[in-house]
Amino acid sequence: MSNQIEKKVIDILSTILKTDIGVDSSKINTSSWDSLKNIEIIFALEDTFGLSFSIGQIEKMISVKTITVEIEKNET
Amino acid sequence: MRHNFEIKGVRFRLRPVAISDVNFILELRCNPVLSKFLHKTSSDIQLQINWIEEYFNRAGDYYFIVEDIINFSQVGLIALYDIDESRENGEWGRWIIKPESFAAIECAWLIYEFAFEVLMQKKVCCRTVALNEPVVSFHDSCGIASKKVLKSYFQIGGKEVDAIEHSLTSAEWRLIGPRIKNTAIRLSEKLAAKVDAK
Repeated sequence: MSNQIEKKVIDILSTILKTDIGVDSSKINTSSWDSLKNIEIIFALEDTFGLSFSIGQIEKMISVKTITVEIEKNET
Repeated sequence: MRHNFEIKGVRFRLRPVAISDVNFILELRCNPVLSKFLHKTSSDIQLQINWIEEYFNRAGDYYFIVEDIINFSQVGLIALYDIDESRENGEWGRWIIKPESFAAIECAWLIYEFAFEVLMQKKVCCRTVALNEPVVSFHDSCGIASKKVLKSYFQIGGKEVDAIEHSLTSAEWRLIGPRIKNTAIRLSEKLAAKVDAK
């Protein structure tokens, strides 16, 4: 399940950021991952997974890994 | 210049800078992380008061405090300046937002609304230190297509550094503005939910 979510997250991020994204990608190592794109990513994830993230969660969602963790939390 | 414009968004507003904001301005402008790509500001309060008083007399310069509408906390600074009445264009900058705040998107929307819908400017630019990649990327992400490099434009820390100039016309703003506005509104709903949950 985690791998499927991670794959979907990478697909969404690659599309929005228009760059290659991998499992270790984050705001720190991806120059196009700015604060506007970050919020657009969050909303795209919400729409795709049918979830709603809290501000507390959004603050943590700054890498493929942390995004995947927060989606899994919402889905369980 | 002294002005009375208050630009209200959904969660944040821009209100005129006052002398009483001097400590907040220094808190942001003297923060080594936040001011990394800004011209150096002295931490001397009187010098900053003098600067604000000079600003009050400078035509075509609108300096704002970014404030949270719900809890009235100050979260940042922004300005629109060098307004050229004859050419109807200007520049925005002096932009600092507290890192824990989510005001950046709404703040950008509001300053463009002020420039194009209130002051009826035809073109606005923003010049960013080229090394400030997150902010350069932010302007790119807004959908601003007109972009050029200004070689050795800024003097930061005694060194000449390049700037990236993003320019936007009022006609282009009408095309890209709604997306930024909608993102700001959806984000503000989440911020409101955070307040409700407390």
